[in-house]
Amino acid sequence: MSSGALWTVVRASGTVDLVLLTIVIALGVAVIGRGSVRGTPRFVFQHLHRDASLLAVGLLVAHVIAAVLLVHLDVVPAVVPFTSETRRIYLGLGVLGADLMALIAVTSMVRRRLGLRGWKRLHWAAYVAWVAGVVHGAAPGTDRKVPWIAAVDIACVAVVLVAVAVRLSREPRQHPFRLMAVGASTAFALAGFLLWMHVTPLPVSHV
Amino acid sequence: MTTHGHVAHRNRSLRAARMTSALLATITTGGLLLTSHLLQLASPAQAAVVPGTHPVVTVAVAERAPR
Repeated sequence: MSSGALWTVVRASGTVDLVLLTIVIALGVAVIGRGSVRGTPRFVFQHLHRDASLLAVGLLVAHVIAAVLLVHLDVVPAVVPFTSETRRIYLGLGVLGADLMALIAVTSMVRRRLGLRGWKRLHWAAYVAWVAGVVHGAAPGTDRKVPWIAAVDIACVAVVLVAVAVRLSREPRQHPFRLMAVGASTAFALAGFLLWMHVTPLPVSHV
Repeated sequence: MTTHGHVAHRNRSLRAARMTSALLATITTGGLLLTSHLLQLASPAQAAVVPGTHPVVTVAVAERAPR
């Protein structure tokens, strides 16, 4: 496979994987653990959450393999975060996200052995993996200057923030002040992401 | 709802979940192909560069006046 084709695989799989991860996180945040939704049983969403996660892991594997073949990454920088010589921070965030995704996939397979509480604690790492994936995907030097890619990145962040806001606003015994704080935090986080995308310059040395 | 009704509802829901998963896999495949195509059409000035290489820079070259 030519380097041009590999680079297209890296970029396309990364973009689609971010969308899939966003669907997985949004399903997990807004729907699962909340009982039935408009007559649809909870297991339907759990089923979708699991299948979308498996698709996302499959795409992630393709993304990592294509990236390793393209830039001839050694094993250590491909597995251990922040050890790469090129684009240490942003590539490191991608490696961190991939490692956490692998951890979540493995612990979900041995969920019964871990116990529900331990598994749930480890599952919080999904949020860290998603944030690392978003920053890795929207970093300087990526396709974020392409308008529709930037729109996809912003939409993914907005979807997860809204899902979190919906989840928090559904908590029992809500105080109006808390609802306002949730709304303001959501808007503030989205504005912060837009500002970050706007101001982070492309580093000259691509480090 | 009777026990039979519960089972029927559960089976319908499970079938719907499986169909949605299959639809999601199809959409993902289509999305991959479409994204690959659109990324190849992206302007080199906007597109991502392979890590470790330099981005495409457009340089205006002034025409040299004939002597």
